[in-house]
Amino acid sequence: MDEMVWGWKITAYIWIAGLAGGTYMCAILVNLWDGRWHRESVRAATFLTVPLLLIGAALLTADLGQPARFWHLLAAWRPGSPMWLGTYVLVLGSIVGGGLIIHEAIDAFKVRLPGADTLEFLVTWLGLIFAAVVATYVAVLLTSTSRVFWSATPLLPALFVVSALSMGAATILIFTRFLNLQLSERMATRLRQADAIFVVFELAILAALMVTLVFSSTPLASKAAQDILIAPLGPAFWLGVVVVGLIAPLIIEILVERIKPKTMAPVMLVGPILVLIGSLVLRYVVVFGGQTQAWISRPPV
Amino acid sequence: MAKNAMLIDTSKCIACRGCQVACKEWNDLRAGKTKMIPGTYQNPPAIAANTWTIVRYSEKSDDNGTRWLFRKEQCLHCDQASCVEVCPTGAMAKHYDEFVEVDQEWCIGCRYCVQACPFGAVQFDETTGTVKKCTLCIDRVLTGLEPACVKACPSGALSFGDREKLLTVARGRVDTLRARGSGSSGVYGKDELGGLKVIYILNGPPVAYGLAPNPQVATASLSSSWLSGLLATGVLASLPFWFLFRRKRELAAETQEVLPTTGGE
Amino acid sequence: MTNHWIDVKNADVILVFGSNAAENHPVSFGWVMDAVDKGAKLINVDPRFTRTSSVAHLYAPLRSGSDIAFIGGMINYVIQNKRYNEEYVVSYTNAATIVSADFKGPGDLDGLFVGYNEKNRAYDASKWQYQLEPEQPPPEGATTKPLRFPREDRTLQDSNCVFQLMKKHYSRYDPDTVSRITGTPKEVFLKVCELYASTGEPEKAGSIMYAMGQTQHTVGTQNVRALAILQLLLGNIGVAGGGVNALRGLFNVQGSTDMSLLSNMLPGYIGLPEQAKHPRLKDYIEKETPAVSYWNNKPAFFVSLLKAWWGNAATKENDFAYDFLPKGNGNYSWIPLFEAMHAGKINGLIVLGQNPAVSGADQSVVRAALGKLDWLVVSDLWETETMSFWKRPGVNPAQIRTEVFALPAAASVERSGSVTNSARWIMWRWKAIDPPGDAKPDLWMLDRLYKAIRKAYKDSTTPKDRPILDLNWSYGDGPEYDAVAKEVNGYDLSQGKLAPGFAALKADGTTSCGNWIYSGFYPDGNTNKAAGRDNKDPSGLGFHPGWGFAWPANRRILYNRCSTKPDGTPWNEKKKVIWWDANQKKWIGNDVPDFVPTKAPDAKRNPQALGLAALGGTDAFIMKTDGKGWTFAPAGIVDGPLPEHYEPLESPVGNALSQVNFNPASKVWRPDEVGKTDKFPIVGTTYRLSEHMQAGAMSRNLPWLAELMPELFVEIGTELASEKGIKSGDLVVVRTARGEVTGTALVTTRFKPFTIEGKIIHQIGIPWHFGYVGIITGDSANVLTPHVGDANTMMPEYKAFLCNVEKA
Repeated sequence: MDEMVWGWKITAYIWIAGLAGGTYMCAILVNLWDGRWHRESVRAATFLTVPLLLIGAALLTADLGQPARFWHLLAAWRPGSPMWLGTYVLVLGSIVGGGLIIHEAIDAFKVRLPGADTLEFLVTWLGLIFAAVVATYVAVLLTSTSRVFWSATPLLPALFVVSALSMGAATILIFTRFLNLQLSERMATRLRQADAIFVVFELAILAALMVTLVFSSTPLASKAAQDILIAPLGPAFWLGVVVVGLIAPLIIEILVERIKPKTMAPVMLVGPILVLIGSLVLRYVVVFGGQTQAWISRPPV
Repeated sequence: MAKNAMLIDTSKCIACRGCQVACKEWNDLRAGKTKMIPGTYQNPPAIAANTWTIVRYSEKSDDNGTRWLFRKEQCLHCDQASCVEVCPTGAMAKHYDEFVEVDQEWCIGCRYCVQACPFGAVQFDETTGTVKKCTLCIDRVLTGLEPACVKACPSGALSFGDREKLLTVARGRVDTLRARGSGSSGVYGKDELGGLKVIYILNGPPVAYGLAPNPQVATASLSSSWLSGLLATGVLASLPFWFLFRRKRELAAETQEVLPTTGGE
Repeated sequence: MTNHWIDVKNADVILVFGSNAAENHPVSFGWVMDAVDKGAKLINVDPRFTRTSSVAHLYAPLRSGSDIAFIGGMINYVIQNKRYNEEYVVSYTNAATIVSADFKGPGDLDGLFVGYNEKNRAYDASKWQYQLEPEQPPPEGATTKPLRFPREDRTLQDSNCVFQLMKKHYSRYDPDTVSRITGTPKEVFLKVCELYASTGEPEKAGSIMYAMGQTQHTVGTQNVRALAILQLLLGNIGVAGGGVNALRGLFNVQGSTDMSLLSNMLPGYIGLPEQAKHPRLKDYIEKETPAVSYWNNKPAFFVSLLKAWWGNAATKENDFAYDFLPKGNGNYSWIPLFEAMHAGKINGLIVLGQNPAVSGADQSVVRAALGKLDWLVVSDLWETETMSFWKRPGVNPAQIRTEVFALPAAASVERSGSVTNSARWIMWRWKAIDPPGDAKPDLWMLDRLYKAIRKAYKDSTTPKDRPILDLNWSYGDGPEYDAVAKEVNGYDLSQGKLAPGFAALKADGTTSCGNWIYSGFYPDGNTNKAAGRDNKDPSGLGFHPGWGFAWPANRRILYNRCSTKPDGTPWNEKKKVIWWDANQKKWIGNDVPDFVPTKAPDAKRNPQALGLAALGGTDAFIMKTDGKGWTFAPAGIVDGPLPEHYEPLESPVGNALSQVNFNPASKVWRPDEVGKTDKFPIVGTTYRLSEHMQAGAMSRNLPWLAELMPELFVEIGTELASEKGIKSGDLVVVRTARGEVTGTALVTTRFKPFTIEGKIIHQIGIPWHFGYVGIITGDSANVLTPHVGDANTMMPEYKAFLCNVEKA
């Protein structure tokens, strides 16, 4: 195996970016067709997302060879580079999110600033776009390389986005429980159902990606698939991604549907937690799996 | 498009690796502590921050006899350079419209270019926190000298000069090789990635030399990737929510239910 | 080289046989690539597929040690299919010469030539001699009897003429037999024959390049002779793009050989006088000066050498200090030297620019021998295995009593002086940088050493110390390289001027010359031709006459009289070297003629004359007593007048041609250390790599080179590896009857098993650059090689031995 050019920091960052983007997106989207606006869920998502973005930015910076030169990126204009675009959105997102938090803080004192509603509306929707970009760009970035597994198919962005949404739903379920933000029975059930649907999507996309890879004409693509499906990443893929991250949560959701335990029962958290773990392993498999085979025109010795 | 070019005639390479040493000598690159790589003379194993060029060895044996193919790997200074396309700071850029160079003072060490280069020719230097690669000896070429590797090559496998002229030489050479019986011989780099500044004469198909037959710039599918991602967001994300949370239709049936803002049920 | 490196580009076919030119001479190999560029074909014959093979048009594998069978088969092919250049063969070689009626060869005597004495393992060559023309009375007015030239049959029909003897001898080397001995597939062998025989056409030229793959065998000399015979038959000697070309392993091997590195030679290949045979100068001159050939001038060269060494102390009265010269009384070559050291007969050793503790065959003998010395002086650029033999792995330094002195030496770019390359070009070099620290040039060390010895003896009055005190040592305090160069070139002492060339040397003590073949490179005080860097090449054939100085007489192609037809017109107008100008009545051309410049092509032999004057207009080989290229060697070779195939000392098979397995004239030093196939069924060989230099001190201490080839490895064919369960990267141990080494396995398809007499024979190979000192280490492959040498030169048999390989 070649030395990993991008290691655990980038893996963690990609997971966190998905987590943040997915959570924010979920939080907004549950409101969209619900007929009423649950400010609490938006607020909770914001409080969660902004620190995540900051941790992500810290990981990214720490991973640089020259962390002190981080500003070089901001001083440049490189819209064709997914990394530049994504990082810019990340930074802007943090600023916007920070604004929202300040806004909420002021709101807590029941002080309503003039024009606050319009601003809140704008910022919320801008946040949704930023969240979508953050969840997507990490995959676009991987696709725009010469690593076989990342670039041989166009399915990676879709996979990452669906996985991010699944994480988002899981996160809301977990964190509302921990922060004692009560969700209505209906809301929780719907989120669980949404999560289950995302898991099904994810399974489908993952299967499509692997099949495409195995039959791809790109040199080394099938070898890359082998690395992931068999060794060295086979155990992580099958156990961590497929069983823990997808099948198990799906079965749990189906059982939950049947048995209908109390919403607040701790057992209800098992599914969402497995989703988060599975998503992390998925990112590990993708990041490391992309680097087991060398570059397209540099097969191993 | 590059005016000058370097021509690597693999059919004349004797894999003496004078180029590898000359490169390290001119660019003052340290030697590594290596081990024998199982089954091959190749060493160091691959291009690295302190090894900007290596000779790749591949050995093949069948009923037609044994072949031992050698290819000098290095940065090919692509016209459509993936590393330049993806660089988020502009530190990796083309100079004089033909040399792809890293600005060591501006590079932040994100290593995106490392992942993007189809040839694995850019590598990260832990000691400086920046990426390194073949400069095509721009410091020599601009003063009228040829690159150090070309200067050192004893067998005539490497040459440097006017790109058009070298392409003519390459075509002639390929004709000779084909006449000699290697029908799969060809020129690599004339049009690939917009035209490489480093051109190969291959005495066999590109894959035999570990080269992708039709390399793509890393950002070739950028827009389709964005599309795939954002479409997924738009459709795949909205669909379940739309389906599950269509409240208006159910509102009447569930008027009792009020979403509590805080506190227990 | 009979020709020179650049001249290789003039060849139509190049046969690289027993050399890995691309790997070991990569820079010079550029000329081969140039020839190929122009349409030449490249053939490579080698036990393994090398980097040379990778660029060859035709590759033929052969088992190590079966070269004569292969070349003999090629000779047979050329003769049987009449592919030789008949006009050339009749005019310029001794093919037409008639040999003694008593001559019998291995075909008649089951592997032996006539005259063999089993007890002392030696031949009496008296029945290999030419038949001479009948004796004639002195012509009128003359006092001396006319010379008797050898009898000839220019129709080549006489059953005892060399051509017929050769034809009969090599008829035993038919393609099937060759394939059975060498393991080369018959059709591949025939392809090589067909392609190379194409150079027998008069206007075509074929160049043979060889190196240690030919010489490091117990039949090494005969290997090279076989190549020479092939070239003579095809008319490839003396022509542009032809020749038998020895590729020297370092930039100055040729120079050191010229300067008497060989223990039985004085500078310029003058044989070392022996005490018993030549007690006085008169004896030496009478016995060693042939009447015919340029060697008739040997007295002039020899006396001038004595004058160079002992100057004014060398007088006519004291036989020009002949008594001062140490005489030979035995064999002083490598193996006998180390055997004598091992037997405790040598007290001290000075090692300059060598690393015997890596490079010598049978390292257990070599390293033990070093431990029997009282003192050892080693001068090198780095710490070497030789200077650190006393602390090598597995020995207790306290038990070694040898006192070792290590002297730091200056590298080649840190001193001036001349080097002589494979092409015999003497080239001056200028110091580029100062040596580091206390490092000093060899000349400085030898100068100070001599001066210290002279000081120690300065009050001596004993006659035996005169050779030291009277030595002509006048190089100044520098010492001056120029002064040494001028001494080598020689002086006309009567005029106090530098000698213009060897033709001016005299046997009367009025000239001095340190090495006659170099004479003329420094013809006057202002002209050091070795420093010439004129790159002009008027002929376009690569002669570059103004670049350096090629000995002898700046001649770039030896025997170039053969580059023309007997009538003096070139075989090939496009590649003409010299030719006879009938108007000027002399030889002119692009090169310096290797012939009497005014001798007409149709000149008759003159039995009343001496030296060159006796030879005729087609006697092109002026160093030979009959003026002919010797396809059959009536003298000078101890193991037979024609090369005959014998197996190496250790061989997996018996000799398919006769009952005599091993070279009957070669001495076996350690009969109890000979491996047999029961324990050692695999053929082993050793070789060099591009990335390392000789015994490795110069490359294993350079990180940039060390990283390219960082470990000792053993190349094993895929078939043998799967039989033994060995994978690339495994540690394996190779054992022979002498010892064992451990290295990393490199499993490769470049080594293929041979089918010999229906048996599968595997061969493996090991580079010999490694040792226990330096930034990368590994043991020397010469732990494995036997202490046995060529019958003529005693060159050790590094290239073929029996071994076994197992997973470590």
